[in-house]
Amino acid sequence: MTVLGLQKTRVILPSFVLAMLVLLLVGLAAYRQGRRNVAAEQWVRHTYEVLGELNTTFSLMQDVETSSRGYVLTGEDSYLEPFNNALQLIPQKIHHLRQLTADNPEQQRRLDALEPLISLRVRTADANIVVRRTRGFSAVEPTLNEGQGKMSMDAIRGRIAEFAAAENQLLERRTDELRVSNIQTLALFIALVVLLAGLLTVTLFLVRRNAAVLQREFELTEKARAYAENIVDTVRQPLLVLDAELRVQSANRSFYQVFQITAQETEGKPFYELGKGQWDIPALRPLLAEILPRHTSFQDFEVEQDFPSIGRRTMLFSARKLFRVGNNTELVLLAIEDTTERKSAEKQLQLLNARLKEHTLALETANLELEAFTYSVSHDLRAPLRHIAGFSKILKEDFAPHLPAEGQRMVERIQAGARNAGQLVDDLLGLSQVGRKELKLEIVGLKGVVQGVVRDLEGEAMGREIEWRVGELPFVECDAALIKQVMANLLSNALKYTRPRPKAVIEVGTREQDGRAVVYVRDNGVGFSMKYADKLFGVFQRLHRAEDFEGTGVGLATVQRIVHKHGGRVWAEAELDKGAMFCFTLTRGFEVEGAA
Amino acid sequence: MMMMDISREVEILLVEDNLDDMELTMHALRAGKLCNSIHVVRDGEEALDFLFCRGLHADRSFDHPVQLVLLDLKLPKVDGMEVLRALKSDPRTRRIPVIILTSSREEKDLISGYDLGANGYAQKPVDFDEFRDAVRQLGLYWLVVNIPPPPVHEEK
Repeated sequence: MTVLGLQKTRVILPSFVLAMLVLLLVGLAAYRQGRRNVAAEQWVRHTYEVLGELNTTFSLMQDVETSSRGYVLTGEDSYLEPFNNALQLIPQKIHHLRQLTADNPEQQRRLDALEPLISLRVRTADANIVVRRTRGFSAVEPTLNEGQGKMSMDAIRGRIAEFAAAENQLLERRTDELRVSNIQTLALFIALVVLLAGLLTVTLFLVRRNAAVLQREFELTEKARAYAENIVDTVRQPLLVLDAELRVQSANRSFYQVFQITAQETEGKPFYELGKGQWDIPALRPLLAEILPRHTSFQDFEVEQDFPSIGRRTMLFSARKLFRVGNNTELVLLAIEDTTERKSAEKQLQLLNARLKEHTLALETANLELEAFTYSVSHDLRAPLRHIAGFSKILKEDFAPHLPAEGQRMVERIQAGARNAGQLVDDLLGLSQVGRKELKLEIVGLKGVVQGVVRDLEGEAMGREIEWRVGELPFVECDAALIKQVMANLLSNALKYTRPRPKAVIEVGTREQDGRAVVYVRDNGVGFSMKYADKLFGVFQRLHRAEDFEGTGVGLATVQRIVHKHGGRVWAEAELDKGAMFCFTLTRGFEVEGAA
Repeated sequence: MMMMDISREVEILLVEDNLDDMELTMHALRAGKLCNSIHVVRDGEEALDFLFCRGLHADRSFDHPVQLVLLDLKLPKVDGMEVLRALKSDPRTRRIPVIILTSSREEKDLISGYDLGANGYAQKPVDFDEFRDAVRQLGLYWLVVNIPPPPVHEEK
């Protein structure tokens, strides 16, 4: 449910209570109005009754008058019938009128006044009748002529008219009240209708809005469900949802793929009976059984199991309780991770690691041996060479007179050989030291390095015409001592191979190639054929005869090793008899400050 | 191995196990006219016995220290670095100038040599002329130019 929906529900109950209250009040008012209406009607009817009884009384009085007169005039008893009837009824009517107007003292007073008048008139008439019967018409006649009867009748008529007028006044008032009450009733009715219509409208609106919210919520829930289902289906880990009896409610795609089983064979089936009971793993039973009753869960429980279809598998089981909100059912989510491949990969990796460790150890041992070897070369190999050189020198100096010329020449050859071998050992040691040395990086101005090397070579260059062309060179982050060795080797090579030239031109400069600064050393020496360019940087590789150009064949190998150690590249371009150019780059910081 | 009369004051102690090297060094020293009072020991143990006046050399005295030790590094029994360490960590011997004279130019040897207090380090050049020159200069400097430390007086 969304927050919006919740708010609506919270509004609905008070609204309902309020509407009920209003309806109740209006109902109460209608009830009271109804009662008022009935009362008003009763009063009107009452007044009419009073007036009716009054009229009857008056006409009974007229009966008394006319029937008594008729008898007096004719003497026939038949005239007396209405008189006797009236005589009987009149007291009843008066009594009734008294009852009816008991609430009205004014009318009671009028009745008090009317009643003796009526009795008097009745008595008079009765006396006249008695006289007529006993003494004949003539005895009555004077009484009749006195007009006494007419006078008392007029008085009665006047009293009744008075009474009727008062009663009519009352009637008028009560009719008015009834009309007002009727109008009020109508108004109340209209109000009730309007109110009900309003309530119905609001209800309709609320219902529609709630329906929209519900619809939206339903769609959201639907979306969330689809989203969750997609995730579950996409998860690579096989997942099962089990009910309280550990029957499979659903499984994801991965489960079907990994364990090669179909949905028909899975859904609704007890977990332990899946795939001919291949999941009935004893160790798993107590764990699964406890999840729902004890609210437990477990994680990465490793199990090895043989599957008829896919063979022996190593799996990690994880399970926990799921709670489905909709129908309050408790479910178990069981995640199975097939770690068979990972395990074997791990094993493989461990094996490889072990092998790598062995190799590293072997390499380290080899390195240590190499170090020990170079150390012993530096100490042990140099010593006998030194001895050969030393003793042959002494032989030549101290025993020269005893040696023939040829013998002396031989001794010189021995000395030269020893010297060469010594140089070779020293160069080799230098090369191996480059390999073992750690780079001490600093910013080095190459121009200064080149100028220093040129100064060092002055002795070698003595007596020759040499033009040094040292251009602008960059500042480089490198090992100063090693880069000096590179420059020394390249420049002394240039010096050596320009020896046959009457004027040597040795140029050091920088140029750009593929966005990189390249340092080059160019000479106008004897050069070499590019055919052998690939041999140039190999140890002991020489392209010239030793008697033409001395050397051990280690210098350029050392240059290459240093350049490589800096992450750079070295190469040569040359043409036989037309000079050579050696180029190198140093990856580290060659662009440090550009040309200086 | 004694080359001289023990009673005479020894100026140079040469610690060298290799006979060839020993002979060449002696030759070079002779050539430099510096071989008046050299004593040669053939291993580190003997060198320490000599310098600490014990064992075979118990009759020596700290009152007459050698003026220079020429020390090879690769020695039997006790190697050159150990000799140097013992020498430089004892107040009776630590002022004696020690020059390492070796075939090695290994950086680690240079570093530990100087760290232990060596007064100099020379590589034996292959070329005999250079070697001879180096030995001559060394002897000249340490025996003639350099003023040695005063002897340490100690009760025996």
